Amino acid sequence: MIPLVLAVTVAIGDFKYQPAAVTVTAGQSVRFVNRDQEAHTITASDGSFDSAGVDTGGAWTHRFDKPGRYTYYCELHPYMKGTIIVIAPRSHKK
Amino acid sequence: MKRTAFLEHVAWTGAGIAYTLTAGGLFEGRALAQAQAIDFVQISDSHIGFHQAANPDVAATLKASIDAINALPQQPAFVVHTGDVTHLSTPEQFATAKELLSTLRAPLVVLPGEHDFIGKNHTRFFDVFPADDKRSTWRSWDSGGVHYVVLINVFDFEKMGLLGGEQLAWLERDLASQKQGTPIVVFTHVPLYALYPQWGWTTEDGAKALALLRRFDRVTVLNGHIHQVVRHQEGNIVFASANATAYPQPAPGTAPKPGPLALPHDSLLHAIGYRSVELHDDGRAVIAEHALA
Repeated sequence: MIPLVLAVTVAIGDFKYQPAAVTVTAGQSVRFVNRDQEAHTITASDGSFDSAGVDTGGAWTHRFDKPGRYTYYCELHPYMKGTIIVIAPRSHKK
Repeated sequence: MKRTAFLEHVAWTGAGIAYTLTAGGLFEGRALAQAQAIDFVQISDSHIGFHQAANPDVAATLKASIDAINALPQQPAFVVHTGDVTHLSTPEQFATAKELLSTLRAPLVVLPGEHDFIGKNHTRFFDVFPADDKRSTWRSWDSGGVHYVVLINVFDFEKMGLLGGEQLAWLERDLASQKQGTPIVVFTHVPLYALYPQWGWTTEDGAKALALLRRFDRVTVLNGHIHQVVRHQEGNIVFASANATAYPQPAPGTAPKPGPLALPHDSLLHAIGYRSVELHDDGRAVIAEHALA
């Protein structure tokens, strides 16, 4: 049976990623929605993903395929930081 | 530097009148028409592409600033734009900014802000606004007995403003041949000193640049980034952050966060515009803020 995969959303508001840390299963996507009056980016510290500029009201979605712990920040406001934890899908467990 | 020396060093002006504090501590007002000619003009933070409540038409307010500068009775030697020309670094935004800025009658010097480098892509900005020699990005030149320096502190913005070792080494070499009495004017995007680090309004290695500038008698550092006039002094170094042409931001610590400050339209026009700078023979910078209303 294929489990229902709920969309994971990170809201950007008040210069914060909310929630600041989320856990997803490999293959799942995360949608980032910018609710601030200012533009932001979602930029991986290891360079593995980068949204470029996400304007007010805009959104950016990224699929995380590889398990691991990804920290990211806003290129425009680098004190804004978040983490995505990607875990291996259950069916891959031995 | 003693207080009186500082007061002689720099004079701050409102619309049309330059106020100079005399040695006796009295304000001396005079019409700008009687003052020396403007040496250069600074504009900043145009954020072309921004379209929120704080300013629904940033192209129009940049154009109004340019028109006002073009209407000055005597054109400045140059106009410097201290960065964040665009909001999101898109080709369309760069094209619009270039089109508007190319209508300036005076020569233009443009610095990048972090909004012009989104995606860690530096070439889009420098393709549109190449430095004179098309090679170096930080640079300096001499004009009218003044040594002008452009520093770029947004190449590695993950650490807030950062100059980096290569640029600092260049600055040391560049300043080595300058005499102590030569007035130095420095342009940056992000403030070189810790203006408000909580909001990223600082340059991580700015103190290293300031250490190199400290030996000069008259240093003026002009920046953008924070969308408001903030003045500061450290020894012989005077700092002045400029208003934007787009929209203001809250004063440090007066809001939970930085960002566009939405004001009624008339109030907006009082909070944005351009700044003129005249440098007296002794290197003293007289800075006048010119709002759009």
